[in-house]
Amino acid sequence: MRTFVSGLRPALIVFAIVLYLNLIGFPLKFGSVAIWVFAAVLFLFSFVVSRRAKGSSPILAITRSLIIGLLPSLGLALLTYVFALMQASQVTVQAVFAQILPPHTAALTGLTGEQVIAGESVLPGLASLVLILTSASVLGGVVSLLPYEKLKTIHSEKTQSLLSTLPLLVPMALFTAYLSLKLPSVQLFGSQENIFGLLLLYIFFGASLFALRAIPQGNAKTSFMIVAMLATLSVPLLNDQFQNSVLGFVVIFIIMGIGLNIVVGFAGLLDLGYVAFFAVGAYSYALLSSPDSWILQNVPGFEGVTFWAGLPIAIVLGLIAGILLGIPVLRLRGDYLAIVTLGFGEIIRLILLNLREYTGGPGGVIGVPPPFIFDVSLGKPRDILFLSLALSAIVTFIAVRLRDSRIGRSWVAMREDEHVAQAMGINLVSTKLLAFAFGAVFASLSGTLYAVRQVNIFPDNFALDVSINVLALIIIGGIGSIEGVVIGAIALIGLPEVLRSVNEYRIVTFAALLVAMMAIRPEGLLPSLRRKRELHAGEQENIPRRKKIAR
Amino acid sequence: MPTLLSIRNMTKRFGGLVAVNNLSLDVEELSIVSLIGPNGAGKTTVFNCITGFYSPEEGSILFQGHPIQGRSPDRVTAQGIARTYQNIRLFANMTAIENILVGQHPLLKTGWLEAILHPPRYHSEEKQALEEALRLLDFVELSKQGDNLASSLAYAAQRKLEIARALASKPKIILLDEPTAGMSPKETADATRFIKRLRDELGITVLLIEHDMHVVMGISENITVLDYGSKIAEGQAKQIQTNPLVIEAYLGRGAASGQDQVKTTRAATSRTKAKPKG
Amino acid sequence: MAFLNPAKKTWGISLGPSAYRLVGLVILLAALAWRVNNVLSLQSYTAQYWTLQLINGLILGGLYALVAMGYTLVYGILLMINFAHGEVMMIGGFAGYFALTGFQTLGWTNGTPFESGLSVVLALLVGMLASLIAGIALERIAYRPLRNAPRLVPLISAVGASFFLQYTVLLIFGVTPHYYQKPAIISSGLSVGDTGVFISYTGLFIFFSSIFLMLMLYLIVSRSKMGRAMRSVAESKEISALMGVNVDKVIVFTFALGSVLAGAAGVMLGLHNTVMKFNSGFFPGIKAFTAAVIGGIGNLPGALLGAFSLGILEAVGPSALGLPSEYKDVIAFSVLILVLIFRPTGILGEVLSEGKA
Repeated sequence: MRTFVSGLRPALIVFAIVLYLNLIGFPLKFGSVAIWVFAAVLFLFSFVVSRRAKGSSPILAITRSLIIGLLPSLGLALLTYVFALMQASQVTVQAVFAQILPPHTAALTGLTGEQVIAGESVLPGLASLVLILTSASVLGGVVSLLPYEKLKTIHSEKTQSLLSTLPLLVPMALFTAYLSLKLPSVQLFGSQENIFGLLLLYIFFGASLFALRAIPQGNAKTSFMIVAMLATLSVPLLNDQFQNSVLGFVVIFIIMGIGLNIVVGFAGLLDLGYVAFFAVGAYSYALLSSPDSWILQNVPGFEGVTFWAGLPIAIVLGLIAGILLGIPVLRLRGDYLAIVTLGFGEIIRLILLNLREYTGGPGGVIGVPPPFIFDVSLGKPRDILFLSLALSAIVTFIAVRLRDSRIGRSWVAMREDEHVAQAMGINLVSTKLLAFAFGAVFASLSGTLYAVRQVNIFPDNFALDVSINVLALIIIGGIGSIEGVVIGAIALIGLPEVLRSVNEYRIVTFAALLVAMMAIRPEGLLPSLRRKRELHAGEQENIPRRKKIAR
Repeated sequence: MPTLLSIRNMTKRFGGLVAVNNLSLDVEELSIVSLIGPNGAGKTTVFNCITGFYSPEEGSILFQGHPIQGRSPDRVTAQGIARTYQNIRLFANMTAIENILVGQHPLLKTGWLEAILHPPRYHSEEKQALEEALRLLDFVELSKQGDNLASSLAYAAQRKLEIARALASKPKIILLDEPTAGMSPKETADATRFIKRLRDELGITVLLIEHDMHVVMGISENITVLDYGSKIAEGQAKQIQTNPLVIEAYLGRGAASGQDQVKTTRAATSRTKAKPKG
Repeated sequence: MAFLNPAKKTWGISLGPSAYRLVGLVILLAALAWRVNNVLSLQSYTAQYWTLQLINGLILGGLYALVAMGYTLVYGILLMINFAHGEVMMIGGFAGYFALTGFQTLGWTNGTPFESGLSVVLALLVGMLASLIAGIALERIAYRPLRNAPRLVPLISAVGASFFLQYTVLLIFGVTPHYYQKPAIISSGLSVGDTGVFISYTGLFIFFSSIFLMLMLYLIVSRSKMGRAMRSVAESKEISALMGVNVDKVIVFTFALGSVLAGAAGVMLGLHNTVMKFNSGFFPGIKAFTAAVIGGIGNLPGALLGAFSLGILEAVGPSALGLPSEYKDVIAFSVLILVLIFRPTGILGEVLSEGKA
């Protein structure tokens, strides 16, 4: 009886998850593969629950995992049965649940859509559904009983040294795989080749960053860094247009991420309207250079600025915007700052949308010219990627220098204890303003790059979800750290570009990730060590200092 | 010696509550002055007014002749006033040495541009700052703990670090808020000697809030007693010890008679609000 | 009549030289007055027009008030902005929609006045119930694990929760807007004599229901045992716990109260605007938050005052300033920013002195 009760709550939770995935359209999207997705969910869930409840007898564990599998799958089966009945009776279920179409039911029951509508029995299909899901759950329970502790104690010298070289080997292997895809003789994935190449690159970059963290200072680390950087530089030359275009997009967001990282990660100011500065940069350059812009059409003799002139102008305008926005807003406390900056972001977008005469309104600004060097156009994705990489290097350099300086210390002190920081002689307003200004400048910079990349820009490109995207990538990637920004950008900007087919689940996934990470790992994947300490204050965790400076 | 800090008729109210009432107090340069009184008498409020966290409703505060009341805390610190806190407010997630480096903020001149470009001036300033910070660590005998997190230090060490951080800005006067709270007798004696060193070796004037009467009577040249926000006595150790108003404030009515010396313990200094005012 | 009046919450750094701000405020008000004067002299708006706008503003105000109360209640207790509150409202709106559609197929919405009225009230209740569940789930999943985290963390979780709810609703219920069909009983309105002023029954219903619900809320907060517990937890969680108050239960109850009101507001929003989309809660949520701040956050009468002020400003503002009505959102945000700069404690908030050290 107690087993039953102890299994009840997890069963309900996993039922909610499976029901959720069902209602948001997994079967419709993935066909019968969705069943295996559900099975995997059940497997993992039952595995985790069993591992957590240590010390129970095997029979108990298996019975519990049986319940965790059986109840939700029965529930799902019942629901699907009801839907099938309705669909057979010509009831439009999708009027309420937009994803429950006959193909949806068909996917779960092994029939076709027409068969469902015709009223063919779904019971066999449902039976196998229940069987598969329950078995998956039981399997999870069984697997959880394996003695994992034994594995942890394998500590022979050989395996240790082998494991320690792993961080170095994995990135290299990945890059080699990526290179091999480029060979004309290798034809693995056909038309999907460039997507797989990108995925390999992503994992390569991610693994490299993790490796840089894991390897201690020394010759190995330095040589690894050099090799990795050379590899990175060669990538634009090896890639095709699509891959370079996607990477360019990622790097643009990296620049924005570094900027917002200064505001949120270093100075601790939650800015939800960051897109405003992005828009300022993009529109400044666009309006000053595109033949479509109001300025070029109305100012006689003005032929538009070059990219190299437009960029500094956009930066200065971004700086002004940052200061104008910052001054009134920096006195506010965290939550209010967030809402007000969000308001500003929206106001900018609304103004861009409504001032048709000057900004082009919903029609935006089209025909933004690319940069030119001595009559050579740098408009191709590869050129844009190189340009973005160069600018991101500069931006990173500045961010690192700032972080390790007196101003960086002031930001940390301010985050720790604002009042005492003030008592240390730190002028809060100017210190916060500095963070805000740098953030605005970097965003503006990336906005200009964006305008060049897109060629046509519209107010809709500068909506709230850009701010949320950048915020999410800093937070999930790792707050306060530059590696974190890169990881975040790859994961949250790069991956969706590659996984276009599941684009509709993008925001829901990000949002769920945000909530989950705040509960489990608020500091993100690769946080700055200091932030990790801050967020786990009070716990017995031994997080090393970055470097020792006192003797 | 000239007067370094002068509080003139200062009143601080919070809504209807008068926290500090018409206080006047002078601190001579190179002196050690104590501010004592039962809990809730308004002593920390006085500190907060001096350092710019609160703005007094009435009266003025003069530092080296210039009015500083109502100025923002960072401006006040820049004038040469530093403080420590009753409940130790270190930057917990920064190391000891980083705490001190932050304390040097008013003295460092390099801005963001130098931080990015690293001109020679930047390097030399940072180097000097680090050396100075190490020297301060030495002065408070924490040299081996420079790279330890402030939150990981022992209590007495944290107090010392807070003082080191306050000293980092090379103040002319340091305001110590209950520096010996929670210390053992030996630690207290060490601390008392240390405070004297601040004045004797570093030439810093000291204004002290304390509850431990041994410390107060031992090193103060001048003592001001507050009760319910008003000054009830001022003078030197002997006078204060025998002042009936002071005894009453600490021990309640009726204790004044038959007492030669005040031997207050921590328990006696925390009265309940129910005790009637004398 | 002090509701959850957090007199001692600190408000941040000492604000800059107040002389500058005062001058700035005066200049701003002068500019606005000048502009309004200009507009009014050029355009001739009739008294009827203004009355209609005013009525509209009151209706909006009632809606905002219901949602603002939820914000202010949660803020008073947890010192956090429930960013996802607007989505709780939206969920109520969706539930109400489905309820009404159900009643429609039953023929109630266009049946006898009793049936028609019943369908409205039941739809309201269904919406309130759905929001209640959503609000409680929200607290349990997104906020409770983060009770002791630094303030940025629950805020980010709230932002995540907000978007999660929005896009979940989008995925589950589809992208086509859902259109409320008003039941017969509230589908028309009454004319005030021959002034030409027309007030819809929907509007009347919204206005009076919101007043009624707020009255209920006031009674609960000020008279009931739970209300007392709420107020004490708002003062201090620790001391309340020491006094034997089950802080968790009080927090859940607070969320429940706020969510129920938001659910009602969601249904009313659907009735008023007819359209209900996945993001229908987002902007009203932000505006309701603005209202709470204008009135003084943490302060129930303040939320009421702020909400009606904002509603009226939104209805009347664009016309008075000679801007197209799309600018009403800009006006709302600008008011928020101005209030936070010039009077961050809100209209009814106390001018607090900073509590430090």
